[in-house]
Amino acid sequence: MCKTFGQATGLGPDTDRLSILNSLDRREFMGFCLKVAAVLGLSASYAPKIAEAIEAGARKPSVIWLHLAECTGDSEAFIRSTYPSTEELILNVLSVDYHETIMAAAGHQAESALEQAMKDNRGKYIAVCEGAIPTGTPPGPAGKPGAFLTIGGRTGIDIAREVCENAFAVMCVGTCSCFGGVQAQRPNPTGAMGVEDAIGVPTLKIPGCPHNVVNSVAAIVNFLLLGSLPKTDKLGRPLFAFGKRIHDHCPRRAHFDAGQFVEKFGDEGAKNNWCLYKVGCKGPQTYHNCSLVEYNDGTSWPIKAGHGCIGCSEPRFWDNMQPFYERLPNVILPGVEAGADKVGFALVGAAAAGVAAHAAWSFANRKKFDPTLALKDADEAPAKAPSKTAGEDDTTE
Amino acid sequence: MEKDGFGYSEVHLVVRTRSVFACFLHWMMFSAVVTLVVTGFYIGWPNFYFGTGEAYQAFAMANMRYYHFLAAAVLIVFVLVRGYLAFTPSCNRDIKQFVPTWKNIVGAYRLAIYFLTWRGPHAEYRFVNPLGGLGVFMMVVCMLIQMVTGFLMYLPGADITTWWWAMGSWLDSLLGGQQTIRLTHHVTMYILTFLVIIHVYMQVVKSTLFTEADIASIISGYKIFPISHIGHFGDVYGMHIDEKPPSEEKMRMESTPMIEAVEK
Ligand code: HEM
Ligand code: HEM
Ligand code: SF4
Ligand code: SF4
Repeated sequence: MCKTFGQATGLGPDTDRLSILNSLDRREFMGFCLKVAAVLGLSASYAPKIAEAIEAGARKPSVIWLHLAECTGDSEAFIRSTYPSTEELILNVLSVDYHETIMAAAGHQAESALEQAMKDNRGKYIAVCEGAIPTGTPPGPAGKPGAFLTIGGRTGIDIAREVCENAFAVMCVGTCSCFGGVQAQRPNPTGAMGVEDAIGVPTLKIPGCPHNVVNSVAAIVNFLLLGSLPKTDKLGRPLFAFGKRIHDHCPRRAHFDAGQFVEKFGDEGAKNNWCLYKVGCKGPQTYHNCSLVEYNDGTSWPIKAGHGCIGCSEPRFWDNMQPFYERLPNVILPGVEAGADKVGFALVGAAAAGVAAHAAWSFANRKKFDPTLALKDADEAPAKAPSKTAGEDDTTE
Repeated sequence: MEKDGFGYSEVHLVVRTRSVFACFLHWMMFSAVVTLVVTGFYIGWPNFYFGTGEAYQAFAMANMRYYHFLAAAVLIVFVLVRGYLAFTPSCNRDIKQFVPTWKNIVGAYRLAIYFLTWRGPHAEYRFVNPLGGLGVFMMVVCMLIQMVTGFLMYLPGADITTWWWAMGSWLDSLLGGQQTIRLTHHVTMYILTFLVIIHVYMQVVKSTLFTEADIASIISGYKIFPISHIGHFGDVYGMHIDEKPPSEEKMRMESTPMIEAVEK
């Protein structure tokens, strides 16, 4: 990903200046740029540069948006963005050439639109993926790998592979396309996987359920500003949004450190906005920036609303963040599934019981025990001088 | 038969088993682990001790975490020092007593059978016996797991521009994320507690029923054996097991003052 977007696309700065200025009032627009600067971890002085990049850069990357096995929650989140508004996002910041939910075309027309979009910008467009890819084989004669998701006769794997392999970059929005999401939860009957796992193409991941539009927009702005993809962690999540845990920036953190916890929903602690650790908050285990940017244009987010974090931006969160109202997941051993503390207490209890039983058994057998019967440990004998050792040949009676 | 200073029918000798410094390290590790288990238990399920007043006035969890990290630092330093010494003559290169080599596993198996049935022959050891050595090995593995997982929960709070943050983030995803790491840290605490219970009980058994592994040996560094048992131990006074052993006469002579001291 070291090519700049300009080089990769061969697009110069667009001569048509963006119309954002016309449709948004300048203050709101600068407010948005400030927010994006904050999300990207840049100082406020970058806001004008961001504004410039959006206004003057105007490279309008072509976007092909794939719907895989998903609930459209991430499209919903995307098109409910207010700053910049959907129209600006779709018409001005990006050139969304294919998006099943919002385009007019359907059926064969839609399929040819996809083909056209890929042909026009081969190697230059951004593929945005929403939803997991089922890779399992359905039972029955017609079953072939991946057929759980079939669109226009082609499997999801096929479509995703063709679109993503010819893209300049692939951006996954939502936990499903990043890591599989709820479809991939145990026992995962359809063999659902994240896009990268299913087709082997590296992806930039904006997980979340749904993802926060501020983050996907910030990734795009990063792109417009610098011409390259943002820095990511090992899983491919941009560090500007997924570099810190919820817990590291939580407004209730003071109560965590103070030792003031909600014991159950609706109690005094809950009324006082105390820490939700004991009712299962997964904030300490979740990398995300919800506490900073919040959802729905900064309206609120779970912990602000009094509910613990459920860890929606982490891989396999449906499996290992469950039970949502317990702190830790269950321990799964062959034949047993139980809470970690139960397993632990059983283990320690077994040690105590074993010790007591052994002590009793030894007491009952005390007559058999005679310390003088101890034999010498042959292995401990010095290798160099085995002879003439005092007491070596003594046998103990 | 002559009676020795302990009232046994045979002369018993006081034998050096480890240096005072090794004893010191043991008890530092012990204090650190006890503190870690207690504070870790609180961190895992805060109870009995809560903050009162405004949040800025109370530091219940913050204190527990502070002592947890303090004890963690102590544990790390002393385990590393002891681990290093295990390869040096000052601790008799005793790493070989702890790693589960085939010889140690067989020895541990034999001893386990003996301790469980109280039948058949068994060997007596000047240093840590193979069964105890295996237990110590498992405890050390648990402590190392705690250090790695503990650091991986600690590092994400560090400055994101540092290399240790980057290393933590990389390892974090490699090992399955914070949740898995936390669960591992939590469950390993129980496994370690399990092993410590067995370790302590084993030392109590060996101290009451045998002369071997007197608990005093981890305090003063000496064990007490009947003289007929120790000829094969080699150098009684130094820590070098492979040196030429002294004559019985020499051993008697040099250990006499100790026995006399006990007699008084
Ligand atoms: C014998 C060794 C140790 C034991 C028994 C132990 C036990 C625990 C337990 C039970 C927890 C609570 C986990 C949970 O339920 O979420 C915990 C948390 C933690 N431990 Fe340890 N621990 C040990 C060593 C260490 C070490 C060596 C470190 C190194 C830095 C460490 C760092 C941490 C951290 C960072 C947390 C999370 C605290 C927080 O962020 O709230 N621990 N420990
Ligand atoms: C958290 C608790 C503990 C840990 C992690 C621990 C760890 C260890 C380790 C690593 C050794 C071998 C090191 C050496 O030989 O210097 C050892 C030996 C020993 N420990 Fe502990 N220990 C713990 C608690 C105790 C307690 C409470 C006692 C006392 C009852 C005890 C008694 C002994 C004895 C007697 C030995 C020497 C065994 C022998 O020479 O055969 N330990 N322990
Ligand atoms: S990540 Fe959540 S919102 Fe997005 S498609 Fe999956 S289930 Fe829907
Ligand atoms: S509410 Fe959750 S994220 Fe916030 S301080 Fe408490 S445990 Fe951490």
